[in-house]
Amino acid sequence: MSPDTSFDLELQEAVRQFLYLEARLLDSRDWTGWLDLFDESATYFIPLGGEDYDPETGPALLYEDKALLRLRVTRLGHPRAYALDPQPVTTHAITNVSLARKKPNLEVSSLLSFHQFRDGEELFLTARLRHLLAGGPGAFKILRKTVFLTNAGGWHSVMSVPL
Amino acid sequence: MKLSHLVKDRKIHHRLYSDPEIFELEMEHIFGRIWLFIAHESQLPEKGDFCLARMGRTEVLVVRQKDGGIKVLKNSCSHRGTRLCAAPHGHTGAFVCPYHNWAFNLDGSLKALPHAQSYDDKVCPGAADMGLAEIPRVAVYRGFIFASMAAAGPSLEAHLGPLAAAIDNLVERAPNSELTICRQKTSLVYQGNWKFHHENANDTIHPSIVHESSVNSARTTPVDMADFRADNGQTKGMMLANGLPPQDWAKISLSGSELGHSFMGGFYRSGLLSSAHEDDVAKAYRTALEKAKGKQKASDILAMDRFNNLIWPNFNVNAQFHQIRVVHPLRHNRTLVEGYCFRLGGAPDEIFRRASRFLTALVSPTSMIFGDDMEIFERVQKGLGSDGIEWLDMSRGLSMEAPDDSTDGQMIASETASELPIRSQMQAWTQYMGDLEI
Repeated sequence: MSPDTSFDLELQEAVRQFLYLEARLLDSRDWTGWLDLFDESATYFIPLGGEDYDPETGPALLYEDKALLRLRVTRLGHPRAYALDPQPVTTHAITNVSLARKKPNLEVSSLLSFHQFRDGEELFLTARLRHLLAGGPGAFKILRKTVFLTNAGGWHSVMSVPL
Repeated sequence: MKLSHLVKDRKIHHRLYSDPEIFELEMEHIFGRIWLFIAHESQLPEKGDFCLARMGRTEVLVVRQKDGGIKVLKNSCSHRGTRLCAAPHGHTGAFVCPYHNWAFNLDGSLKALPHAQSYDDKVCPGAADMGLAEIPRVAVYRGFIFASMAAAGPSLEAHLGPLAAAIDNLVERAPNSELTICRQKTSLVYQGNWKFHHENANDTIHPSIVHESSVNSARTTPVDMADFRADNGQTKGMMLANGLPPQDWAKISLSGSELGHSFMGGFYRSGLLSSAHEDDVAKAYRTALEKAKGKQKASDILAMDRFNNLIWPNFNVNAQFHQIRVVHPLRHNRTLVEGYCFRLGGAPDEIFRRASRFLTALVSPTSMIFGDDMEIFERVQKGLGSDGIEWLDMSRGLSMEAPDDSTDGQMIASETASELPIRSQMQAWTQYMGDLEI
């Protein structure tokens, strides 16, 4: 796929800032602020095994709609979520942001470098992100977020913080 | 000192979890002898199909032979020991080593090698002892392939004992009695001893404590059931179920066998997951099952309401939700848990979708439920590793056991939230390990 360079720079910058905002909300543990970025019809998918597939046709590392994300966010803030006590400190670094297509919805590709430190243990993950966005600059909502982990086909330790 | 001194009626010595030397002995005397689940037949439908599997720390090739049989071969070249095959599964006519091109037939015999003129007749195609090391015993129980590194020992049926019924039930739940394993598996590693997994899986006191955060989140988050489009509320039901009050957990029966196996009764009391609940999908599925097997048989199959069927030392069958887990010891303080789900032949697609969602919600590394179990395992390992206590206690319910009628007395049952499953696992451990000296 050769990149379409016809997108205007303003739109590109707005998208980039939106992804930075998402990363910032996650790193500051503003879970409800993060949830608000998702459209009511949104899905969040982390495939298993390194290939893209329809999440309706098999298990996943994670496949949730906004209703399930609501439960997840409540747990993230729950004082007895042992896997989050002590709280993880994280860095979500976003790079290589590019607009893949504009219609019917804006599709954005980016790279994520994730570093977590918690209770003396470190976790590093990288992934390619695909965001499908509704709305426009200043009012983007995530319709679909897919996280293609570099090690989707490997072994994983517990992943408590959303990527 | 004999290792049997480390397991008493009500106590387990911490070295069973924290001592690398004991772990080495477990690999040799338990995982090096006992029947281990390695693959499902649906992974190898055609001659020449193969997949990689683990037996303890040993990597093996499971290979469908030309005659339709199955052989299990160590994945190490007989020349220099090089790891032969790196593909997790595939189809081939031969295995060729990437180092010096030694080639092996599907049955493991040496097929060809370069510079043959430089070898004497001890090293030539077909030479005895120059093939891949073959795992001596392989047996298939209703599509589930097991292997044992011991040349002699109890049969697979004898090993499975009363827990064969759990595999039967999983198979019978498919209207055409055919299962297909889903290749997408979860692979979760925790920094703790392998025995923690089975000790925890049928422990009915921990759920309302360890899983309080997910129980509570499911209870308090205001969401319309209709909004759970991804899984129709199944995950929420799983989260809520762990919040049974103590008196209800105490009513869930537990059964254990001296073989190390155990199972617990079902605990999904309401919603999509309860066996009493029937929506359109469940009804279509029941109809398909009745058509294939008759009304009475179908009813009997669906009536088996059990959660974790633990086959010692490392296999877990959840027949009701078409899942299995395999626990692989990596080090004394490091363990891999693989989770798989199955497609039931002749059942509606939606049934597989539900099994997929179940696996994702329960044993994925992102699970809101299992994540807290893993954290606890790691905390136990840390506590024991720092010489925190000498003996662990497993006496809960010790005096409240009785023969289990549902298995014709082959197992012991407890109608209280007993640590009976752990005691059963320790009985088996002692049988394999007790006479060894350390």
